Amino acid sequence: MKDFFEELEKLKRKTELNKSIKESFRSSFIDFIFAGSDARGAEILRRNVQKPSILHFFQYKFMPIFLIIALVFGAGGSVSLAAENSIPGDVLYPVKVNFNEKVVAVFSVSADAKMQWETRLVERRLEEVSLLATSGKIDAEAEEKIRARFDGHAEKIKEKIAEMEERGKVRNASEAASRFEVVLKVHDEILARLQSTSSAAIVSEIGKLKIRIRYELDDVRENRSRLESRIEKEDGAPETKTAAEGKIGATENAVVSVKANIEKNRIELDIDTVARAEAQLQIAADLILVAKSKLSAGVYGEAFTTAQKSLRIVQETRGLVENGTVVKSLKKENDENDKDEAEENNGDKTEEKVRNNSMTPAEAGAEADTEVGISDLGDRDKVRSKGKK
Amino acid sequence: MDVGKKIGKKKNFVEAYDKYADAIYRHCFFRVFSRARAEELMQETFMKAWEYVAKGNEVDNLRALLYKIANNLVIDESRKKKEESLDVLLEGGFDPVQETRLKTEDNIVLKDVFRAINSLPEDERDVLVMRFVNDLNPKDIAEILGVTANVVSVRINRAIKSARDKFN
Repeated sequence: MKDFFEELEKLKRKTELNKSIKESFRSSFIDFIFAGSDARGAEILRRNVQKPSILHFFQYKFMPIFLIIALVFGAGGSVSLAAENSIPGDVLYPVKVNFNEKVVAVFSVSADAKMQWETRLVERRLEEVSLLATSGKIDAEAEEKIRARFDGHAEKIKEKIAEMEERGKVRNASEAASRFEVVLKVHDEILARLQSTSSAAIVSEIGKLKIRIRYELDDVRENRSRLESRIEKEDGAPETKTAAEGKIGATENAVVSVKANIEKNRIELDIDTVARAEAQLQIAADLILVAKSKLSAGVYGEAFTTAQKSLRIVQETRGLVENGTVVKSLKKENDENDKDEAEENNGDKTEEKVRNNSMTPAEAGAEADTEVGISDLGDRDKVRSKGKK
Repeated sequence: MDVGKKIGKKKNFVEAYDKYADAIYRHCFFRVFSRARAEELMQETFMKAWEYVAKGNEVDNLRALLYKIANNLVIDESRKKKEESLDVLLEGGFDPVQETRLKTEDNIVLKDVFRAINSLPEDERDVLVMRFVNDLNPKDIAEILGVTANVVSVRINRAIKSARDKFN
């Protein structure tokens, strides 16, 4: 019978920090502490919350970007922080892409972290497009810049997947390809939804990026399938069994998590999205059962790839649910802004009429009341005082 | 603080990194069982420790501070994972064989060691790893955890028994 402490001692001796990782971080760390830091700035910046990504449930591998900015730049990081919410065309956008993102890349030391950061960068570009499209600000120049960056990040992801495969990390490579596929698929759908409700000019700009997304999606799907075929062929290895068990467990947990998300946001989501999300989760649950039966039958490679397929469906569903609430709230915000603008314009016209003596103030007040739809005298007074803003 | 002292402090910190990075990494690895995550937690430990020092706090025992921070980070990690029911760890593709010098047969043992350690209550898990992975003595562990050496010794004895039972 093996002794726990003997085994622990053996494992401990074989577990060591990778020398190049240690050196690499040492250099960054020295630059950081000798460049100076302002702890107060770090504290202020730490209070901010990063927008969640559809990949957030496996984004644990990052330090939050705001913490990194705070630690590196201290009080001067307030500019970097403000840049995080910028989109193409904003003054601070160059800070976001040429500075902030490069800082995070430095602190993403491990191969996994680098891969996840590149995938997150793709997502950030696609989120920017959605924001621009929703606010009607996307034009040819902005679209071209985003598309160029998107192409650069996609290329890096593909290189890293190939490197992983070359190093024999086929499962890791397939997982990375799977995550990239999810991001592309979700955003392809989001952009399709935006196209259906946008003007012809915006539809055209989004269309160019969608072509690129579709191309990368086809490419990564093919690559992922090929990697999964390799995994299925290398069946029977104990580590494949462990990985399959882990994948099944993670997927089951993810299903629970997304179901809870749907319940939490049911009011915000439209009926079609909810119905579709629930149907997708049922498909994922059925696939988990298939994966389990393959595991019992000793077909570990297929158990892994089936579970991975199920997880992909769950992750896509999570993305659609999360972005369903974001898109809806953005549209709501834009609709409200449009309404406010329209009311303001009408108010301006009314004021002009009063100034031009074509309307008395009493008539102007009555017109405002009619717009608001208030008949009660008491409320009318309240509205009038509000309307004086 | 004068310039000389500032530079001295920074230099000491870099020396501490050279001296303790491996140990902190190992501490994190035997809690999260992921090479990549342990590397990141190790880095985060040193950055948080520097932040603490940069705020002007005096530190008598830098090693204790580093372990304290690392321990808190792995505890937060394990609590987060409990809420997500190991969602993140498992989805991340926990596969130590691919990432360390361990052989295939080691992975089977590592999995059992992992399960045994993870099944322990938090306070026993902390002392077990500090004592048997990091080779810290009860007095050092007591300083890190903010309890008495006697409490640490009692926890270590309980941890030894529990770990052996769970492993077998």
